[in-house]
Amino acid sequence: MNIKPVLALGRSELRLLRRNHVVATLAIALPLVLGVLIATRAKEFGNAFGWGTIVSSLLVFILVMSNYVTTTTAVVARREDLFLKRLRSGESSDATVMLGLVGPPALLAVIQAVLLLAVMAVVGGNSPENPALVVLAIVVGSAMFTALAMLTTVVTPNADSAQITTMPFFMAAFAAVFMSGQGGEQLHRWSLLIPGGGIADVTSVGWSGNRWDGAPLGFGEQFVSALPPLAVTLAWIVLAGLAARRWFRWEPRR
Amino acid sequence: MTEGTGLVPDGSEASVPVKELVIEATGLRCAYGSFEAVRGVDLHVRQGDVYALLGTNGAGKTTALETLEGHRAPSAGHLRVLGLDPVTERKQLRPRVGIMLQHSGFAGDLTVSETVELWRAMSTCRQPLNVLSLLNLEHREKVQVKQLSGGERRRLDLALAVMSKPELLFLDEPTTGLDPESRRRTWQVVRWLHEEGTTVLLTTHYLEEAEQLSHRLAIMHEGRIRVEGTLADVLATEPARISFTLPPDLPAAELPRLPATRECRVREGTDLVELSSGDLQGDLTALLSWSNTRGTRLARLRASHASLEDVFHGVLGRTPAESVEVTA
Repeated sequence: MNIKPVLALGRSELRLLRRNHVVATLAIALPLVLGVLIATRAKEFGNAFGWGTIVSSLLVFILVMSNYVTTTTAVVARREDLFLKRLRSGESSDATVMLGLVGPPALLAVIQAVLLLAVMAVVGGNSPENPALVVLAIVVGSAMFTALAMLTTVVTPNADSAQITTMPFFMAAFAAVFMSGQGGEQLHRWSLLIPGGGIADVTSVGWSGNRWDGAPLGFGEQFVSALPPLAVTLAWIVLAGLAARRWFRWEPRR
Repeated sequence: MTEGTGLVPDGSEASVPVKELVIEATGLRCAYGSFEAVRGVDLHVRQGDVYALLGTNGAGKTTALETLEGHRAPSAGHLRVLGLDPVTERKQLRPRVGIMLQHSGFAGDLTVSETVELWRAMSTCRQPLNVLSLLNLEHREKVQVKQLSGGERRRLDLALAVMSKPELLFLDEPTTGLDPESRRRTWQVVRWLHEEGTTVLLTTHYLEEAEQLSHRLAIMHEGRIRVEGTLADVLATEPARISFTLPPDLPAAELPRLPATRECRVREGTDLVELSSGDLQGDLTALLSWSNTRGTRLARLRASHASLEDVFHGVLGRTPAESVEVTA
């Protein structure tokens, strides 16, 4: 695949995100508000709910809002404008067009996540035990929410209705985060199956170095414990990706 | 209506200079679910031709065109564009063609120049044309696309399609809804590209556009091509017309039998006689010498060859079984 058209399209998508006031405001205001909240209350929250839980909730929130909802809305809007059809009438392959479209929101989300977690570490005075696992969770999580966004576009007729169609995965992700850290073992197991639950678990373990119930894990054990949730997350990526590829529409339904 | 007037050339491929076929479609069929929009189309476009596909809305023109472009696979038939399969060999084909879709959009928040820049970056073309000056859009460069007028948007559409000076250009209703000035500009660009060697396949429902621009044309109706050929070939499929007012002292039955007249009738409620003729000059000569001999004056006499409009309406009124095949 040629990288030049992907970058050109990505640049133009960033420009469009910037010029869409709702998206732009959300992309700047959301991390800002969260940043201030963390800066002022991180220690309090961290001590009350456990650092792992706070960090994983924050990450899933960023991925859902900045990556999942933004991607769904942007792709549907381009389809509605018949811009996707135009892009498809050019030289670029479908994969090139897709990458150019989904790249910017994913990048945005990853940057926001890294910045916020950095603030968390500095202000909260609580740095991750296993940064590699946390980074892995961010990257894999971003990929999963991108794939879910592509799948969600299939049932989203227009950009406005994206607020509704993104709700199921939105709610599921937060339910999973809650179940992952605050429920018992049974709930925790179930949470791993829900999209977002695996990411929350890996992040929590990576940040705190502890298992969901607080039992400390050795460095190697942390990686081993991440395997099942990562496997489930990858399964979601493959499943959503295949389904999106099968049913994705390049033109609005007439 | 009978087939094959004397004016229609014998249909063998050898009689025309052999040029490379740029589009070769045989028995092309395209279905959406149970609805078949294109029902067995044969289309051969030679290198350097400007070929017009005419038809009413819903005739299947756009579906046919989008299939040739590779937007969808045909449900049946053989298809080669520049010798390639438009779907499976899209990667090799696309850099060589320009496509202007009937309905296509822009990202409204991008400016005109940003849109052109994006398209340029997504094309492999080494020396893109200065399309903004070509289509008189230079003064709108910094304007957001959503603020352009309909005509300007359509010109920007064309600008992107021709940017890489393609070997083959698809234009789906390029001038629908355009003001005369924009239409003239579009025609100029198409003519210029043709001179530069581009083959053009366009759809239109403006008969004038087909007459002005194209070397060959086809009329589609209900998913099939009903008439195909050069403008002269196509016009020859429809009889010429002669009309005049029936002289007051003359019963219609006493009108002469003309050698090539196919139909003669008096329009209901009037005294206007209408003839359709396979040989306008012959029939007209016979008619006039008859009236001279008889000393009758034919008031409101009109004689004309069929226009493209006549052919078009003829095709729409005809059942498929009566469709005319003309090859040249």
